[in-house]
Amino acid sequence: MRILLVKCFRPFESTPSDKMAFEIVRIIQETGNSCELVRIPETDQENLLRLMRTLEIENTDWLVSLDGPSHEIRHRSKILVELMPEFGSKSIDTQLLGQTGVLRVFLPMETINPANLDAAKIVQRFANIEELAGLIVGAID
Amino acid sequence: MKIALCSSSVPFVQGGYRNIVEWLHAKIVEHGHQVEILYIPQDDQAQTRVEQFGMYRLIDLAQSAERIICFRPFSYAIPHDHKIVWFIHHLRIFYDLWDSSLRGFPDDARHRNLRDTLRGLDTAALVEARKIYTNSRIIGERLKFYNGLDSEVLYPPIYKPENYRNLGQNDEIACVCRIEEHKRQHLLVEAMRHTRTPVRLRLSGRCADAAYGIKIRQIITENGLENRVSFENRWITDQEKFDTFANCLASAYLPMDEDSFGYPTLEAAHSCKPSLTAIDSGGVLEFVEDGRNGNVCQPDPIDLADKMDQMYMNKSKSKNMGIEAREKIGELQISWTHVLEKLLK
Repeated sequence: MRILLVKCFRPFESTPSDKMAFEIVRIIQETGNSCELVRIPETDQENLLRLMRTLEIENTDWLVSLDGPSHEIRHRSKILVELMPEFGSKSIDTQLLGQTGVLRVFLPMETINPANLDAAKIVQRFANIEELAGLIVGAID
Repeated sequence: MKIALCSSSVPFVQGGYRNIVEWLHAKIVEHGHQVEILYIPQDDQAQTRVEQFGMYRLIDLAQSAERIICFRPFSYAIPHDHKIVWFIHHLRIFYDLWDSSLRGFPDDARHRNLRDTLRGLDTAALVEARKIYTNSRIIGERLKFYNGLDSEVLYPPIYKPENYRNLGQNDEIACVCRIEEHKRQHLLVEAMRHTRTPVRLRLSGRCADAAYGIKIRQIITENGLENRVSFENRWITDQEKFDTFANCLASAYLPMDEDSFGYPTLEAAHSCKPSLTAIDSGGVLEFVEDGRNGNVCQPDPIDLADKMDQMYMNKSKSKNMGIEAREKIGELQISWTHVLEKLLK
């Protein structure tokens, strides 16, 4: 399976969500699937949405969008991942949308404040990501 | 300095178009700059080309990057005050391949209009650049012919040339690159039917089109060439590649009308090995000179077989041609020092 992750990013800023995305790529690759991350630079909201709606993704079995703007990308087999602070204490929840092939995954995660980030929290967060990656691969299988 | 390297990509397709970006990234970082790589996925549908071009105009790196370096179409459409373009090819079906069978859509008024629109957009975006470099002379000539733009050739080096060495000569002609119809590995295998010496052939590379891999395998088995042709349908490791070039007799690289000299040509040269190519291999001919640092032959199995035999029978000459290939790298100023001097000045 070829799984393409997409998210927005701020150039020259390494955020926890960027690290999370790279970690998901690594974990999915370890499952034997091909996985790449595409990062789209943030710009004003209107242009960003136009850009996302214009993107043409080929040669990809599953598209995993990791934030709101990238959910706008068109693809026949899409998984939407959302970071939902309100799910913080719960396990990963999933919701099948009406649209065929779209699975919405809510990743439990508090709002990230890089200044407050410490290694222990990253490890804890990565444990959640492994669960998420497993869930993504499981959904695809 | 904060530098963004911008290009387009096809997800999960590796190759030289990514190497040039990622190797440059590593080299600029070594020089103490901050670098981001930006790949925008792009597909091959003609009808969405204009929209996709417009998409790049929406990307705003003005505040975050002090300089952007753009490669593949249409990344050079990204607006920026300090835009450098290292142009590696046009969307050729709208340019020099318009009249070829590769176009894939009719030559009608609608598509001619699309072609002319895209050419106009390309030109408009490219003139915004402070400087345009090309990866070969042939690309520069196309830019001048179709877009009326001047450029300077800046040949892309390989990442760590010091990893390539020469450990002697075995009996193999090595072809290390993607296994694809337009790379014409089948001609090399067919040539092996006509060789008169014990010369051997090694094909290493991943085959994206399964049918072409099957075709190669069939030519091998139907002609009983299993003992003289090695076919490794996979990405070999870097170390395997270094070892292959270090020990081979020569490299073979005969793509159809290539845009540049091709990394295999350069990898062989760093190992002091000559290259075998064809008269219609495009940019490869900017590096390979027939009889000096390799052999240039007709793209047919019989002529190829003759040249392969000559390389085998006269190993001393092959060795000397390999030394000349190494010399040619310096003549063409193919080095990271030169590249960084140009791109960062």
